[in-house]
Amino acid sequence: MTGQAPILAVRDLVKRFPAAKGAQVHAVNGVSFEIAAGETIGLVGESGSGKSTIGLLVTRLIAVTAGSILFGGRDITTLPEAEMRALRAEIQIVFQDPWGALNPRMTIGRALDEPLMLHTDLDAQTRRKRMLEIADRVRLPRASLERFPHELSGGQLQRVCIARAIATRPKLIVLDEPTSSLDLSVRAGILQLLEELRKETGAAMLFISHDLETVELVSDRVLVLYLGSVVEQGPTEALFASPAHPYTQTLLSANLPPDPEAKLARHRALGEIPSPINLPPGCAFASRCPLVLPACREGMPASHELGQGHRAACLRIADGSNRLVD
Amino acid sequence: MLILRFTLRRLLVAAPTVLGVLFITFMLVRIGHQDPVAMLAGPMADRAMLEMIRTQLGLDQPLFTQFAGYLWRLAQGDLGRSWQSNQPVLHEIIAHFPTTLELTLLSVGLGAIIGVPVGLRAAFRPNGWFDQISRVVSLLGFSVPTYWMGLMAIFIFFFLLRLAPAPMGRLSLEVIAPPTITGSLVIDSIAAGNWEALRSALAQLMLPVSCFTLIAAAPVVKQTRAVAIEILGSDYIRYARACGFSPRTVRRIVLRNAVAPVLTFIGTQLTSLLAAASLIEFIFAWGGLGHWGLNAILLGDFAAVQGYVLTLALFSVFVFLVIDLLVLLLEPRGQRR
Repeated sequence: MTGQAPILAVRDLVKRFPAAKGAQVHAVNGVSFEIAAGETIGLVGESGSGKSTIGLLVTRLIAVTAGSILFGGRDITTLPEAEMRALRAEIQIVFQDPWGALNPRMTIGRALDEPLMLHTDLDAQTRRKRMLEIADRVRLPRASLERFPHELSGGQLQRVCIARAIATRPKLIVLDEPTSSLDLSVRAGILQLLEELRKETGAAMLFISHDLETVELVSDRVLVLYLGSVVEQGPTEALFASPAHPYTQTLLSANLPPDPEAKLARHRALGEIPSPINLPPGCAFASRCPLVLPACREGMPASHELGQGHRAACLRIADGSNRLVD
Repeated sequence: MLILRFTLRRLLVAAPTVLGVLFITFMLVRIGHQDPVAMLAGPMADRAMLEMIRTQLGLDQPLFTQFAGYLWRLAQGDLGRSWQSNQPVLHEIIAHFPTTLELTLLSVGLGAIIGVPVGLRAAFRPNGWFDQISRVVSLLGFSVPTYWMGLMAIFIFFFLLRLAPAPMGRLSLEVIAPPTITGSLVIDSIAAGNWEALRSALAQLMLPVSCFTLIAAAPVVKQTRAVAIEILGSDYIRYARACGFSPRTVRRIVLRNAVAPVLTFIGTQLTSLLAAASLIEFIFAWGGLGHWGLNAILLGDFAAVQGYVLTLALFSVFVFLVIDLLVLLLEPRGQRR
């Protein structure tokens, strides 16, 4: 973490969705984290862990149930929509599926122009200049500005989405699985581009993904999410080198190294991910944890500081019995 | 140039379809239970008489020989003669088609004008009060049998409330009809400056068009709602919202992107509703093509049934072609093909 004030501070974020028969889906359960200016935070978790919901909450596409989201010191959860609209230039989002994220009836140039038209007072000529600059910057052929989305490849479309996101010079970019729907060869190019853009623009990034290798590559810090709770967080290197929470250990061991000769230490969680409807109290992972203690089911375990902001919420850390062994 | 090539290609593709329709219709009417010979000859005819009529009509020939002859005459513009009226089928179609077209186009047009905004409004607040009401009303349009709806409309608005004129055709008996130009009484009355006829024609149209519009609007509401909800759930709308576009702008994007699929749907509706018109026409003694075709089917009037189905098939081909051309012009995908 850098010493600056965080650009984004999320406190005790809760999001519940109504489900059938008055039940509730606990999508996000008291999540707190901060992002410093220019920092990239990786948010990892399985499907249903609530990571995309956090992306939607931070961009205020959906309303929070409880908690606060401070962006540049202002709580955007209570901001009137009119004031929020001005802030929206500073918080941009890139979605997973670039084919669906662009209006099929709008040229690429128009798609890039729209945020500029909405958020700047620039005249058409200046906007055009800025558009060409941005297109060059994301290595998008200038000719593609006159094209429609169906005439471009997936990688090019994702470059368009990224270009659109940086057009208004945002302070925070939420990237919701930006490379998951792309071919491996294209993926590397996009990741490299994001890294370059971060250095140049100083925009903070919230990188949401289930792909551990990608997250390890791009993030300064990583948050591990399980059933709407952050079970572990810390600097990328420390967290990947010595995962403390049994869930993180399980998750990392499920990630196959590219070396086919490598000996795998594989830990398995017990059973399936439970339903997020009417969650029981206690640690979210208790029902699947091989190291579960009776106390785990009684209350949410406190977070243990492991140094350098590396924290994990597991009771076993206190006596050092938190390691999974084969 | 592109449009011309597109049109030609579509017509080429449609040709086998129409041929298939001709074949199936031709065979279906002949393998049915109806024996037109017995009907034509009447109850007093003896066996020799029946055979004579059968030979005269060519019905003693093998089916495929009959079909070949039918196609040959069709190629020369001869659709055969109705046994019922003893008129050439082509004349009957030309006389009856505008009547049905007037009723159907009015109803489908009104159905679209009402259905599209209602569907959009419902989609913007799914499960809101407006959505609930529109769902119940369109369910009525879907599920109430056409004839029952027609009869109830007559019972309530003519018999009980006396708001509508007697359901006896397209014009009150006390009004002199304008000279036929297009076959649409509304247009012909205006052309002739016959305001009394125009008033009567519109009054007569009121009930059948109302019933028919409800039937036509219901699927349009449902389809528009579904299309709009799909667009509203897309990431590009999500982005527009995240970027701070006003709800009005978002609605405009939805409307623009819904046009092509909804238009295509209305086209398919138009063709199927043209067939459904027969029941409405029957109940309101309308005397259009649908009414005529339904009678032909009931009486086993082979040439008339074939002519009726052929007209519907050709009309469908025409409507689909027009719709596809419109979509081609509206969609960016089409223009670069």
